[in-house]
Amino acid sequence: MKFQIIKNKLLGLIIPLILYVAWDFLTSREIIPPELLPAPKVIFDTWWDLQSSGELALNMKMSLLRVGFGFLLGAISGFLLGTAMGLWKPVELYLNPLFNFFRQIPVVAWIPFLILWLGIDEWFKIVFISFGAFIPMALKTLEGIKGVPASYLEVVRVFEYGWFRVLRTVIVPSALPSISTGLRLCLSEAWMLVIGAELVAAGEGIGNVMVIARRLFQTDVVLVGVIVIAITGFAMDKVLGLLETRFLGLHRSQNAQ
Amino acid sequence: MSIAAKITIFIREKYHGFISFLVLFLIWSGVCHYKLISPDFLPTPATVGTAFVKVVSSGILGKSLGGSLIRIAEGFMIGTTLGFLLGAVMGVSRTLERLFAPLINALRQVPIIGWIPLIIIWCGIAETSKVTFIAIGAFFPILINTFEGIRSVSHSYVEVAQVFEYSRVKLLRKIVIPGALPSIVSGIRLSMGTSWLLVVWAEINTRSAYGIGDLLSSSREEHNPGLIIVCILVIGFVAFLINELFGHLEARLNTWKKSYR
Repeated sequence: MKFQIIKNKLLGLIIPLILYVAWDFLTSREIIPPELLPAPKVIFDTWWDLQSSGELALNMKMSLLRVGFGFLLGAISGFLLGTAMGLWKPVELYLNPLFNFFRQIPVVAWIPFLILWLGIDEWFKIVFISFGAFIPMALKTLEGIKGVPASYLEVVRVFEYGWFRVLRTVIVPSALPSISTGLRLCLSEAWMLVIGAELVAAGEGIGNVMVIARRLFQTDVVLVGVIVIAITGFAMDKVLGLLETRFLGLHRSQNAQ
Repeated sequence: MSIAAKITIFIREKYHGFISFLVLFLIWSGVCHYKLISPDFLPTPATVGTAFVKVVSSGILGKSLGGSLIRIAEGFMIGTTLGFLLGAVMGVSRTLERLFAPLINALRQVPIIGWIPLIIIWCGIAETSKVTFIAIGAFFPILINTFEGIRSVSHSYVEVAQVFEYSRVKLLRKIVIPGALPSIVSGIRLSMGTSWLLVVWAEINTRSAYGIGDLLSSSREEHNPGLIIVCILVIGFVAFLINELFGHLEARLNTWKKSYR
């Protein structure tokens, strides 16, 4: 059984390995020109240079800060709107049609408008990211609260719980999984949008490093950028996933008592 | 039910929404009327209307939408075909799944927009790079949905087919494909929606003659706030249309699936 699992894992390594060997072979003999695809070793060296010179860390810090602020701004306001719509019927009746209207608009379409209002500096990027984070958060929060089973609400009505107690014991616990999904969607959206914003408007940041490298035909730097943003995005999602199991797991066991 | 009754019910259920849109519109008009915000930043409703009429009558909007739609059609076709095929073979064969899954999962981690600089180096700044970019974006949702759709086909159906000694082709045609179809269609919807976003991203990063993203960029460069709003509304409207259209198709397939059960 164990042998089977190892065999299955090894199977997945075959294609990446073949691609790697082909890549190494084609580039070291310069069958593919290095401007188009540098050798794996070159990419590793470039990464090492960028890393040790601190250039990568500096730009990553800028991008992550933007993501952090945009994510917080978007997630908090999305959470508030979602909660308000979920808990108060009139708010939902009046605001949900507006929200549904605005959420149809892809975030990318707001770029010129936001640049017009905020210039092309930090505020543009942060607000732009927060637009992207806002929508999934509001949606998932609303979904979570609306998804509380009606029978639970009937039970608490029978027991005549106060509204705060209803919120604490019924609504929050059953809405949390959906809210947590919302957070993860938000974060991956925010991470993509920061790259997009940095491609469009200059400044420091990992996206901007890639744009400049692209103009100078430094393919190795672009590839390092692609790999770094992929790993960062993956790591951020994993961290949220771990937090999710840790805290929601805790919550569930509390309920079980 | 008579049409009048339907309309009354519709109004009774939806009038709140109309009120909030009306309020928003009145606030917008009021702010513009009393010049609380300079028209350079917030165009008046009339300016937006004129800008809309202008781009429609000059044919620029039509050409831009046409340009973008052609790019989408090409990229979407390539991306969904490849994604569907790979998803299907990975769904049917566990060996192929094990072979390809790690690679696909690694590539999927790259935020799609992050591919833009690399694609520009590889494919230039003309049509090819935009089509490639859209194809990459359309590739993943359909791949995943096809794969999951096939895997979600109930095992008992397959067993029944085995009892009746269906051939492989008949098994695919009668059991697997119909079972996976709703999921595949929702994959198509996701791919199409993504393509629409990505064509805008592609066009604002590398300019072309006509495209909705080019219209968007030029609205900013010309400092034409009316056109900016028109672009936002048009892009939103098309996204909405795509979602509705495929959503209806999906809902139909799903009701069929339920009733079939």
